[in-house]
Amino acid sequence: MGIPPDGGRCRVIEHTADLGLRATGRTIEAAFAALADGLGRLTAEVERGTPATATSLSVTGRDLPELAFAWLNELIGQADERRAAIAGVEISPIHGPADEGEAGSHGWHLAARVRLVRFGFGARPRTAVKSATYHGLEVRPTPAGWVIVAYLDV
Amino acid sequence: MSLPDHGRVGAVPSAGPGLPLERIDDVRWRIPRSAVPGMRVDGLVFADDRLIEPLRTDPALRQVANVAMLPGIVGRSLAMPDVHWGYGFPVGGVAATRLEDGVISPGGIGFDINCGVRLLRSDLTEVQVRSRAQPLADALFGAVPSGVGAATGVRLSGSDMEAVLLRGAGWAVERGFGTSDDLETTEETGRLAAADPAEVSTRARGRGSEQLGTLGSGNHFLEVGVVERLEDAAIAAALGLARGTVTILIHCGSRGLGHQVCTDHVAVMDRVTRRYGIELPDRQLACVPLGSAEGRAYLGAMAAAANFAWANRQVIVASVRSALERVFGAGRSGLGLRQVYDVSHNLAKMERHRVDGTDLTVCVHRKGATRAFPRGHADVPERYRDVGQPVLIPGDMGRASWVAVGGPGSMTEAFGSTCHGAGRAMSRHAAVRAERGVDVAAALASRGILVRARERGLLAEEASLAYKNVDDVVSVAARAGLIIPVARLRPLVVVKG
Repeated sequence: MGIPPDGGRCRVIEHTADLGLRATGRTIEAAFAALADGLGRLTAEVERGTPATATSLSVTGRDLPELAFAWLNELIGQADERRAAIAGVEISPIHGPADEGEAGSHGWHLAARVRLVRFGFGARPRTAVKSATYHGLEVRPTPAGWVIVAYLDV
Repeated sequence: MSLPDHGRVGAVPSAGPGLPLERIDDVRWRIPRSAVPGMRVDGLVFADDRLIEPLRTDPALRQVANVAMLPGIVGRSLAMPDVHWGYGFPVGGVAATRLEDGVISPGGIGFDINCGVRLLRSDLTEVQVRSRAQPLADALFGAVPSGVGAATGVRLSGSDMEAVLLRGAGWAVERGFGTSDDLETTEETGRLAAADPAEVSTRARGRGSEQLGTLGSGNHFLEVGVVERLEDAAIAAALGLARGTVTILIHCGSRGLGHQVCTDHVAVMDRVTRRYGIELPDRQLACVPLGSAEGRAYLGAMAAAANFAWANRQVIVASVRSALERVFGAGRSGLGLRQVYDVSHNLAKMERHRVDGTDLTVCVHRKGATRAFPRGHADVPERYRDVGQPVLIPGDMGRASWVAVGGPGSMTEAFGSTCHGAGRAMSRHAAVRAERGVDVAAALASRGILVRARERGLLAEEASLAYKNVDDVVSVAARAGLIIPVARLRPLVVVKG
């Protein structure tokens, strides 16, 4: 069952040339979902109720920053390749190294369903994002939940 | 599941305060290698008093120090006069690494591999352009797809993509998108021979497959301008420029293909950097030895992406020429359209340089920095060898851009490099806040500059106040001997992505 971004928030952080995102959530899944939601809102405006195409994706990382780097760049790459906007995500429970089984044995694993809307079919582009970077990338727990900070090359 | 705190990579570097900055002269500042543990060489910042002040609180200087920690770095970690905070490397950063024990870092080239500038000159006059400014802007806007998700609607076949990645601008010329003269006036004749398409991922090809001939977004643009002032009339004449010459500047890069190549290879290098015993202060500096399998793979992919960018600018030039011919009703020869030069400002190249009295082949990383070889250099096209390699320095859409040639100081101090533009001075959101309530397009129109943009609301992000004054930047580069200024261009019509 997917976890929508409702439990998380994302805001833009300033950078001289580029942009950063700071996502928070009560759970790590909510923070990753909020990060995707922030990326989606930064890059496009999607009309409410527009039919979307859903696609499944999964990414891995030896540590949480690598997972965040892979997550953002998978979303950016999928959207650019399909000339589409990110309209929403649903994230399955994230598995970590401490989890038993195959998923946890390689570090961190995130699987999600992503809804995409083609530009010109209910989605209007906003800011172009080339890639997410490792610069200043943080994923950490806080007393209130989780926070992710990521800088994007725009 | 457990939630251990092993996510922190490292905070964004603190700004300048606390970092020793020693004045060398009016346009040079040193960050001594003793400033931060791990620095292998000094940092050298080209700036005057006006440009250095805001840098003192900018993370860019810490990034100059971080770059100085790269294994095999020689000379100094350099910051051009337009330097500003980037990711990993500063934008406006230059670093050279030894072949024997040096590294290659994709972050030292950037995500937009071979982002660069191309300049055309024409026999049009400012009066002619002004009399047809609206249809010209419309024609250019319609001819060159721009903005987020811009695509031509034509998908490159697998074999065509392979040919583009291998042959660059030459592929486009073979297909009728230009002439051999264009290739002769393009850095590396528009092709890096080291390209290895096998190292370009399926995702990268997919992102680029419909983007050849598109401008992109952000700070990319087409600009019709006029030479309003000459600094060196003789060199200008050699470049085909005179006071009043109408010019066309094109600024763009390798689009999604190049972005994905960098993303893919940063991910690979991040996984193996430590295996090579390399410790880094910023994970975005991920790097590997130049001779390693991962290093060779990246260099092959980077060269292929660079070729894609040169083909992209070549196709755009063909669209621009057609648009001009339609608007002014004359053929190419009647308009006097000729390419002055095409230069990259995001690329790594193997070059010969004199380092501490010894001639070495080094890998020069230029991240937001332009190659600027002086006159007499063997890699300058023959037609320009007596004056030096043309250097194209776009400013912001409300002020000016510059044409220069490489100066002798570029070789002695900067691995044949100089600035690539004005350099941002303000974040995008700060610029939007500062321009709140201002119709940027109308303000520019009142000064005789017609702007077309896919997203009019984003114009404020690119407003003049968001950038340093390009005149100040060019002045420092000239006083440092990196360039010889030739001509100042004033914008007339601007098409933004």
